[in-house]
Formats: sequence, C-alpha cells, structure tokens
Amino acid sequence: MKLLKNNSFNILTFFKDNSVPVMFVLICAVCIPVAGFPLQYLLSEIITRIGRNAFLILALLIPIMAGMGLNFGMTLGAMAGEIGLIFVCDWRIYGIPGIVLAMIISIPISVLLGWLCGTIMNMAKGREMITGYIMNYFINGIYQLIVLFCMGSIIPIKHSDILLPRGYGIRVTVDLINMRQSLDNLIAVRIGMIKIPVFTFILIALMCLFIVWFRKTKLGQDMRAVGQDMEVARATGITVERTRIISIIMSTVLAGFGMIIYLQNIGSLTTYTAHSQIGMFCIAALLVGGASVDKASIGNVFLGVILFHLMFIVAPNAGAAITGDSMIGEYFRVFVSYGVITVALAMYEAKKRRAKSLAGRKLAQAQKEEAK
Amino acid sequence: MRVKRQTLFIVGAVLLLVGIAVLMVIIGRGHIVYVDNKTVEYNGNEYKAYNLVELSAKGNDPQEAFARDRILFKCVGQSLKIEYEATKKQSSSPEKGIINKKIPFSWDAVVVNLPAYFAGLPEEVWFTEFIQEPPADKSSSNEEIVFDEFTAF
Amino acid sequence: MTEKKVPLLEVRNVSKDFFGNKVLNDINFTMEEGDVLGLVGENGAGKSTLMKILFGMDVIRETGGYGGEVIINGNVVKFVSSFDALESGIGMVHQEFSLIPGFTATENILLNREPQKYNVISEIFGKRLNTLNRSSMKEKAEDAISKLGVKIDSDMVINRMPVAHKQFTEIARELSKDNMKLLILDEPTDVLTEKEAETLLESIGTVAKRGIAVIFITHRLHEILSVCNKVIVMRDGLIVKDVPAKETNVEEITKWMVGRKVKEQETKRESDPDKSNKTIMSVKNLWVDMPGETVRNVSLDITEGEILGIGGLAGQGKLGIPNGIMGLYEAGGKVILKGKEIPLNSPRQCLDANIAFVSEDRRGVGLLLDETLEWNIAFPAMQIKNKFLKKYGPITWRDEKAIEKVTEKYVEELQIKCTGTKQNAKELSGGNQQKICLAKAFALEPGLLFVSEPTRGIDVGAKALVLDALRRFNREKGVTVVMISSELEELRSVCDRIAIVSGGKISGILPATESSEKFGMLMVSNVR
Repeated sequence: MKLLKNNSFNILTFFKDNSVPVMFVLICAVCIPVAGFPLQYLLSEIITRIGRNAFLILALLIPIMAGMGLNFGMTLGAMAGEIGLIFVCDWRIYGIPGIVLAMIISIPISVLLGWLCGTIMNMAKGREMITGYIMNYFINGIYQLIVLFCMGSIIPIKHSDILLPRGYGIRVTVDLINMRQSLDNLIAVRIGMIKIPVFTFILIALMCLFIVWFRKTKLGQDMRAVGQDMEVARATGITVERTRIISIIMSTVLAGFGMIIYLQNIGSLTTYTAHSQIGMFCIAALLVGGASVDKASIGNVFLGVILFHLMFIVAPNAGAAITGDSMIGEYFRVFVSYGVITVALAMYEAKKRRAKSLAGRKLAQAQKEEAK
Repeated sequence: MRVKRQTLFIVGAVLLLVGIAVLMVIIGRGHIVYVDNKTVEYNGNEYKAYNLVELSAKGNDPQEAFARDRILFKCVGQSLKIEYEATKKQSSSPEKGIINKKIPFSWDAVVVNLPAYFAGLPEEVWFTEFIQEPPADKSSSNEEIVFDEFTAF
Repeated sequence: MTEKKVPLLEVRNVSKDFFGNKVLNDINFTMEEGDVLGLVGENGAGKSTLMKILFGMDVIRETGGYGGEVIINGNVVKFVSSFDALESGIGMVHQEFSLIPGFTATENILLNREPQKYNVISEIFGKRLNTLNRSSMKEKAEDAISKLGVKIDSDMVINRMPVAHKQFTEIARELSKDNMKLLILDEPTDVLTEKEAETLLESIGTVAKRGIAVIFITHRLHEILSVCNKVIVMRDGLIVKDVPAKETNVEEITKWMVGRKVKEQETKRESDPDKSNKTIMSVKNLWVDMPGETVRNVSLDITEGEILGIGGLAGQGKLGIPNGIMGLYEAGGKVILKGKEIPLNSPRQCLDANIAFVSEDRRGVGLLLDETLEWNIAFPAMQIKNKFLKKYGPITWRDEKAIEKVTEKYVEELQIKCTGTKQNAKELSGGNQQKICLAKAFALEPGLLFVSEPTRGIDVGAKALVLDALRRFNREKGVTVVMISSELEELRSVCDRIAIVSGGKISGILPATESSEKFGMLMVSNVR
C-alpha cells in the first residue's frame, strides 16, 4: 500500500517537474493527426531542423552552467556570424571554405561582443536575462550602423549585387547560393525521401563532446561553482567576474558558428531580421525540452528541438484543419512560444518558493513531533 | 616563463587561424565560368560554332552546348578543368579533350569561347574576363528594410 | 626561559575601531602548535572582529586597518586579503556555510585547488582548461576527512548532507591545505546536535594532536572545557581573562562573560502602578523560518502595558519572533491579539490590528532612503491609518501642514539631528535613521510595538535617548512594547520582564531585576 502511494507520488512529481515537455507532447499528439502530414515528411523536416538549430541551442548551455540564465546575448554571436557571411559572400568564397572563413571572421567579432555583454551582465547580476535581451536591441542598432551605413561606404564591399541600389548598405536579402547547404551535402545520406546531413550531425556531436569535456575541465568546474554560489566561489579565490565573462564569450562565439550553420541550411541571409528572433526561438526550444533557468542538459536540447519544431510544423495545418484558417495556427505557434518562456520562468520562481515553504513545513512537522 | 610560453602558443594559434583563413580564401575563391559555343571572328577569319559540345567540370552537372549556346559552370579555386566532347558537324566524329587553365584570382567571371579554343587561337581571344553589369534592372530602388519578426521561421 | 621557541601565533597590542567606535582594545595572547584556544564572550565583545583581523578579511582594511601586531612564527604579518592569510597557513571556518550546495564533498573540499591533468588546449587558453583529476581529488579529500577522524561519503552532494557533515566538510577543506597551521572555528557547533557536536570536539582533539593550533569560538561553555587547554574571555573589546581550561568552570566563565562592572544605573525603574494583568497578545506554538534566526515552538504571553524584552545570543532566534509575527518570514502557529486571532504571513493584517514593528533592517525594510523625513514618518500612518489626510469632496489630499507638524514634533522629541524636516533620510547618520524609524512607528500610535535591535550601531548618547523615548512612549501612551536586543544590560535597564531565547526556544522569562548570571545561564542553556 505504501509502495503504491510512493509510486503514484513519483509519477506526480515527474509530471510536476516536467510539465512543459509533457504539455508539448500532448499538443503534438493532438496536432499531428489533425494536421495530416505524412510521417516521412515530418521526419525529414525534423531532421533538417535538428541539423539547423541544435548547434545554436547547444551554445546556450555554457552560460546556464555559469549561473547566468538563458543567454539572450547569443544574438550577438548570431550577428557576428552574419557579418562573417556577408564578407565571405562579397569575396566570392564558395562552399565549405567559405563557411570556415566566415566562422574565422566571426570569432574576433563574437569575442568582442561577448566581452562587452559579459561585462555589462556583471554589472547587473541576477538580471542577466533581461539585460541580455535589452542589450540585443542596442547591439542590433550598432549592427545596423555597420551593415546598413558603413558597408560599401567605409568598409569596402566589392560587389554591388549585395549592396542596396543606393550604393552603400547591404541588401535586405543576401543570397548564399554558393554556400547553400554545403555542410549538409558534404556527406549526405538519403533514406527514401529523407536526407540526413551527416556532416552537420558530426559537427553537432563534436559540440556535444566538447560540452561534456568542458564540464570536466577546471574552468568548467569553476563555472559550475560560480553558478551555484558566487560568494563561496569568490572566497576560494575563483575570479568570479572573469569566469562569467568567459562563459558569455564562449557562448557568443559558439552561437556565431551556430548561426552560420543555420544560415547555410536556409541558403539566404535576411540581413536585418535573421538574428532578431533567434535567441527567443532557441531559448523557447530549450525550455520546451525541459530545461530551466539554472539547469539544462544536452538531452533537453534535442528533446526541445524535436518537440518545439514539431509543434511549429504542424500547428498551421492543424489550425487550418480545425478552424479552416491557417492564420490561427500561425498565431497559435507564436503565442505558444512566448507563452512557454513566460510559464517556464514563472515556474522556476514557483519551484524555488515551493522549496522554501517546504523548509517551513518541515519545521512545523518537527515541532509537532516534539510535542508528542 | 610560463606566461611567455602561453603567449607563444596564443600567437601560434592566431597565426594558425589566419593561415587557415588565407588558405580558405585561396582554395575557396569561386569563379563563374561562361562557356560559349559561338562563332567568333578573328583577324578577318570566321570560326564557326560547333554543332554540339558535351562539357563536364568538377562539382557541376555535365552539360551540353549546342551552337550559339552559353552555359555556366562554377569553379572553386583557381584551376579550371573542363572535359569536353565536341562534334563539329552533325556527321563528324566527336573529338575529346581537356581544357586546363589557371583563372586569375581577381577575376569573378570568365568567358571561354570554344570555337576559338578549338582553333588554337591566342589566349586573349578565347579566355577573357567577364565584367558583370551592375543589375540595373533591380532598381526597384526602395527595397524596404523590414523589421519583421518571425519571417525567418 | 627567555630562549623559549617562538610561538606559532602572537597577538600583540591589537586594537581596532570602527569610525571612532572602539571595539578592540589592547589584545594580547600567544598560541603554540597544537594549542586549542577557547574564545568566549557576549555578542559584541569583539570576538568576531579579532578573528577577522587574524584572517585578514577585507572589512578590516576597508574600515581603516587595525593597531598592534600579529606575529606568526616570529614574523610580523600584515594581510592585505584573506588569501594572504590562507597562504600563511591560517584557515577559517565561518559561521555560515561556505559550501557549494550542488557539489560533492570532494569537490567542495578541493574547490579551486583541484589536482589537474595536463592537456594541449591549456597551452593556448591557460591552465584552467586542464581537466580535473577526479581520482586524485577523491584521494586527497578522503585523506583530509580521515585526518578529522570521521566518516563522510566523499561523493555525497552537500545539500543532501546532514548539517554536521557539512560542517565536517568545511573543516576538512581547511585541513586539506598542506600548510595549515592555525584553524579558526567560528561557532562550529552552533548548528549541530549534542551528539554531532561531540564528534566534532573529538575531531578537534585529533587535529590538535597533529600540531595544528585551533581557535574555537562557541557559546557552549562546557565544550570549551572539554576540548580546550586555554580559555580567553572577552568583554567590551577587552580580554578579561586568559586562563588554562583546567583551572576554571562554567559558572566562573559565565560571570566573566556577563559580569559588567556593577552598573550604577542598575535599574532605577519604579514598577508601574497601574499595570493591568491583562494579556494583550498571546503567541502559541510559533515557528518561523527565518534564515539564521529559526524559531521553534515558541509560546509567549505579552501583558498589556509592559515592556517585554527578548534577549539571547545572535542566531538563536530572537529576531525571528517579531519578524514571524509580523509576517515578514514564513511562520506557523497561533497569534492571538486581544482575543482575536491574527493570521500569520500577512503583514497588512498585523498593521491593521494596530501593531507596529521597527525592523532591525533599517535600510532594507525600515526607511524610504530617498524620501524626506516627513514622508518617512508620515507615510505608514497615512497608508494604514488614513491619518494626515484631508477630504475635499471625492478627492483626498495629503495634509502637508499636519505632516510637517508631526515631523517637527518627533524631530524635537527624539533630538534628531537634521537640517530640516524636508531632508532626505539617507543623508542622516545611522543613529538618527534609527530615531526616524522609531518616530515612524510612534506616528502610527500603535497598541503594540515591536522594536528590533533599536540601538544597534548607534553611539552611547543616542542609545540612551532612544531607550528613554521608548520608555516614555510606554509610560505616557500606555503602549505595550516588545523590545528585542542582544545587549542584556540594555534590556535590563528598560524592560519589566525579559524572555531569553536560546536554540529557537524561550529558555526562560525572568523579571529584569534578576542577576546577570541567571540570564547568562539561560542564554547558553539550550544553544544549538
């Protein structure tokens, strides 16, 4: 009897602790049959999207480890990656060399932006997320200044076909046709209709290995220590501020790479908008995967990509099937992704409070027992 | 001492990255190759276009160029290598061969004129830089910069 | 005799003041290897400050350094930061745990001193990218734990550990340092049960036998006698006694600790003639989850018109009682005011029930620092009691004149030093800010007033004024006052009765006229 009770309790806590992924599994379970996509199509879409997004989302893990929450600052890395791609595009470097070159160009820019972001976040400890989010808008302004006004006028751009007709500023869309899916196609395996971009997956696997390895390093250990208790870490001589900045820089650089992988899959760069929602979507996906502000694993990343994008694929059609209007589905998926972030953040606080009131209840319990 | 050693390694790593970058620029430089099967005039002589030329180059699908055709190849790196199988007239037997040529680094696009090449004319006749006209047509000048969320998804 | 070997630690003429407020005066003592020194004294006696000096903590340097010399192995040392102190072999275990909750014992013991394995990447990015050598870490940690002579699972995560094991982990961390010579333990047994404390004491003995000197601060006097070979008693920034542990006993130490030079002001209070014996508030089985000030199962009756003191050592739970009743921290139990039950965890209801609270946290809870004195004093009264408001038709206005008048009244009464009633609260000194807090509570004209640490951090003159104001408020307005203070003498001079809190519980309530020794015994009775 007691065992039974214990068991049911465990299931309950499982649902409580994983309510967001469970909720998404339910949404997908309802929407998939309604949307009526063939399984093959869904599978191929999901595989494409894992290849496209996983690397970016993995870049989020390092700041979480360092206790800096969900890093909206990754958008800065995305901008750096885009700048790299613009140059490569102008210099007419094709294929894999182009992608490698874009990555190399993005590194110094990412480091600089990451350092800036980390420094500012150190001034706003405990409010890293909102600080990072607002900083995006600010850095986006600088990005626009560089790309919209400096490129072609101060920064030489040779080829006018990527410039706006007025002679300076980059076009709204830059065609990446010469790099399009060159990573994905390097070792591509086809099973029926489904294309598996093996090489991209290898890169993602390497990134996972890197994160696993990084956790074992001294720096990784320091980051975990800083993430859990800054004061204790400081007292043992860990340079807290520096460690936090390093974690943001790493995340930014990796996000830059991730953005390049993302864009080579898409095949074109929407110069002024590609990065604007990338942080939001990666964070939403990670949260859907069951991560929280202070804890995220590689497993969360993959579960998140699958569930979140499954919802994204099926929602418009499901919406259309149910209401006869695909707009409803499109509205729904946007609404849900913002909702997820809000709920996940609120739940994080609620969980903390629950733990706190648990301490109180324990005290009351002890008192009762004493009275007996 | 230790710090010095690390600095050395950092400089090394940066140099390595720069080296890779330079290498990428060299091996990744892409050129567009237009292959023309068109009649040319040189020194008062006319060199007729071939009836059909089958062409193949690395990284591109094989293509067929009939008379007056212009076909497009992409060439990554500076060495251009095109295999061809040319038939001068409908009846004649095809001649096979390989065009091997270095493309200057700074050229974005080149034009290869096949009849001129087959006739063994000087290089400046069959291998010329192609200067792209700025796409004047695309002067739908007010390309608006839209700050639209979610378009990328 | 003169050619005795240099002592491990010599403290010579050390003194320290915080902005003119002398807290340490001419401290001298020496320690040899393997000595266990028991350091006792009331709160504010200067124990912690002395330890902070020894450990080179930043506060000391930031507040102007200290006088005198600290000599280790014959060398005068001047620590710039606690890392210097660590370097010279001094380790300190602080009162509050300094452990990473999600790390295992091993990880905590070797935090930031982990043995590492070389890898190539670290050549570029620095040594921090070496991987940790887990097996060597475990070895070292277990070695340190075995030095303590206890059994702890080195792979257990800290927040799953019982408190005692956390404490041991912290001590093991200090012991794992190779050059450890002097270990300072600041009230390590405070959080432990009797049994756990015993094990800890044994471990201290084991450690001392290895030639490490230990300074042991505690409120549990019998512990000192069982493990130390030397006892130093501090009071008011002075060492009042430095004796071998064998030659003394608990009663004697208590007397030295509390026994002030018999104060001339010794309660010249007339007992109140018209004091009714009605109970105004009755607290039953209260528990409060206030970090560091946990309250367990407190039952207490407060009589109308009295001044009730609540005293006790720091961290024993005296602050938790008012904070719990007022709903600032999670609490449970029953609070009955004049026959009506007041719901807990709801500050507003308490305020509506005409209870006021002057918090010990002046800057956090007490004051609107960026507002004027007027605003500070009148705001709560306006919010809660709708005072100082005028009504013209449907619109309510602040009555600026009345606000100014009442502020002026209190400024005068409490002798608040300010440039005017429109000055900002943050520009005042600590003592005057405290007075503003009081004025604020007075302006509410409450039926029951809780005052928490009203004299903390203010000078002697201001202290007398504040206490006097409280007394007058009680006598003239008939307000029941509950005053919480760590200074026993202060309580005795103001209160009618004093409840002593120890280990989260009330260990006894005595009339203020009772002797200091009796209070002292209560204070340490069930310290936990």
